[in-house]
Amino acid sequence: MKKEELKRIYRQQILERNKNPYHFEKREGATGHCLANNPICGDKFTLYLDFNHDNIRSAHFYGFGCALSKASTSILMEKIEGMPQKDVIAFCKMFLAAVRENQPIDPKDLSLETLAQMRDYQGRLDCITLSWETLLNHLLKKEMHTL
Amino acid sequence: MALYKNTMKSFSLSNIRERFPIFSQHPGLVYLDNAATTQRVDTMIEAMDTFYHKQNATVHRGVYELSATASQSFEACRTKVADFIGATSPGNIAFTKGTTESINIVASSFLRRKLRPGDNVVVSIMEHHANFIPWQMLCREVGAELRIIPISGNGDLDLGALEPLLDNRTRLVAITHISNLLGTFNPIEEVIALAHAKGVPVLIDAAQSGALYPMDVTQVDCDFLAFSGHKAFGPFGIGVLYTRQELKADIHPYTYGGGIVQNVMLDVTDFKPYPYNLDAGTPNIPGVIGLSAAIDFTRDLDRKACVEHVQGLSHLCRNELKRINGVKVLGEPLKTGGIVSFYIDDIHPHDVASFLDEDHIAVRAGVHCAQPLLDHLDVAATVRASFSIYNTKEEVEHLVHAVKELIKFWR
Repeated sequence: MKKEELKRIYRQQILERNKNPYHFEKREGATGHCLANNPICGDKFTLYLDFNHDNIRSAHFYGFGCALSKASTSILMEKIEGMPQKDVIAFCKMFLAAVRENQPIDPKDLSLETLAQMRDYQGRLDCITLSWETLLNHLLKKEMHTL
Repeated sequence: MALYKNTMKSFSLSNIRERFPIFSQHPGLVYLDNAATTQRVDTMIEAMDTFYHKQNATVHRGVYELSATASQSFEACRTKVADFIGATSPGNIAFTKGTTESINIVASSFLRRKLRPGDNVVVSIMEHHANFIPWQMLCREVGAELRIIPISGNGDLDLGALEPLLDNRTRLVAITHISNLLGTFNPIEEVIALAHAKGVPVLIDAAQSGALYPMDVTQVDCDFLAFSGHKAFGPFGIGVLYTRQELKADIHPYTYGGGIVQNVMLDVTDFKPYPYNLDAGTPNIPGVIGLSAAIDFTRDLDRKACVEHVQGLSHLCRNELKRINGVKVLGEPLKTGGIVSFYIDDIHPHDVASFLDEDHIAVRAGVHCAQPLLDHLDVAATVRASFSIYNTKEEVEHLVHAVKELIKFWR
C-alpha cells in the first residue's frame, strides 16, 4: 500500500472516527460486557452491551487502542444496535470473512468497505478484527449457554 | 570511523552494510528493530548454507567421517562461545533455543528443586517477560515471593532498593543487562556484589547486550548468563546458557530423550552431566554453526567503536525526538544502549509504525514484552527505535522527519 493510499483511508474514515468514536463511554450497568484485548500491542477495549431479550438495545465501548482498532470498534458498535443477536453473529462472520478471506462486502456500506480495504495491510489485521472477533466469541458462548 | 579492528579488512561505517545481504534486497530499508532481532551477516548465512550443502550430519551419534566433522565443529563453537564471554571452560556453555529457554532452564532445572515456601526471588521492574514470568510462575507454584527492584524517575535501576530486598530466604536475583524498553544499562557488577554478599546467585539476561557489549563472566562473577544468536547477527533458534562451574551439578535435564543419557535401565536412567544433559533430541546443529560464524564476525569488530557509534545514534535520536512538540521519550538513564522508546500524544504507536513503514522505516510498536514496566510508567504502549552497527545518522534524521510529517498530517 502506498503512503498516499494509507492517508486517504485514514482521512476517509479512521481519523474522524478516532477523534469522535461512537458511544465511547463506560456503561457499568450494561447487561453484558466483554474485553477485547491484544497483549502484543496493548489495545484493550471493554465492549458494553445492553440486551432487550435477544436484541442488542445499545452498544458502548471504552478503553485504549490505535486509531484503526478504535474506528473499527466504533463502526461495529454503531452497526449492531437494534440487531437481534443471531444477526450480529452473522454480521461479524461476514465482516471477518471479508477481511481475512477477501469475501465480498456490501459496496454501498462505505464505512465497512473502507475498513475492509485495510486487509491489504497485513500487519494491521488484528487491529481491525480485534473487537469483531471478541464480540463474535462472546455471543457464540452466550448462545451455547442458553441452548 | 573504522568498525573493524583489522584495518586490512577495511570495513568501515560506510560499507559495513555490505556485509548484510538484506540491504541489497531492500536498498531503502531503514531497519530500526534491532532489539527484536538484528540482521544477518553474510558469513553466517554462508556457513549455514555450506553446512547443509557439504557437511550435513548429526552430532555425537555417528562414527562416520561426516558426523565426526559435524561434532568437531559443534564442540569448537562451545569453546568459541566460552572464549567470547570469558568463561573458564567450554563445559560451562549449554546451547539452547534462545534467551527465553535459557532462563526457563534455570527456573525449572535449577531453582525449582531449591525453592521452598517463604523463600523469595528478586527481579527488576524493567525485565522482559522472558525474565519475569518464569520466576513469577515458579514463585506462585511453590508459595515463594517475587520481589521487585524499582527504578528511579529517569529509568535507572534503584540500586539502593536492592539490598533491603535481599535476605537469608533469597534464592536468586535475575536481572537484565540492558532494558529492552528504556535502553538502561544496569550496574551488573554492583548487583552481583550485593547479591553475593548474601550468598545469592545472579542470572544476567544478556539478550540486548550479547553482541556489542561483551561481558566477561569470570570478571563480573555472574552465576548464569543467557543470550540469543538472532540478536547478535546470528541465526534464529539458537541461544546460550552459561553456568558457573560450581553450580553445574545443580542443573538437571530440562527435557528428556536421547542424547543426554549415560545408562537407561527399566526403572531408572543415569544422565550425562551439564551441559550435555540439556541436549535431549538432535540439537540445532546449523544454528550452532551459524552462531559460530556470527561470533567470528563480532570478534573482529572494534566493539568500542561500534558501541560509540550505536550510542551516538541513540543519543541523537533521543535528543531530536524530544525537541518535537507532542513527542515523549521514555526515561533518561545515565547510560544507555542503542534503544529509544517514545510515544506521540494522541497517536497510537501502531498507527505511528504503519505510517513509518510507508517511509520504509521498520520500528517496533506495542508493549515490547515489558508490561510490568509500562504499567509502572502508566504508559499503554510505545514506539521503539533500536540501533545497530549498520544504522546511520541519516537514518535517524529520516525517522525524525517522518515523525514530524506524521504529526502534521494527523492534526
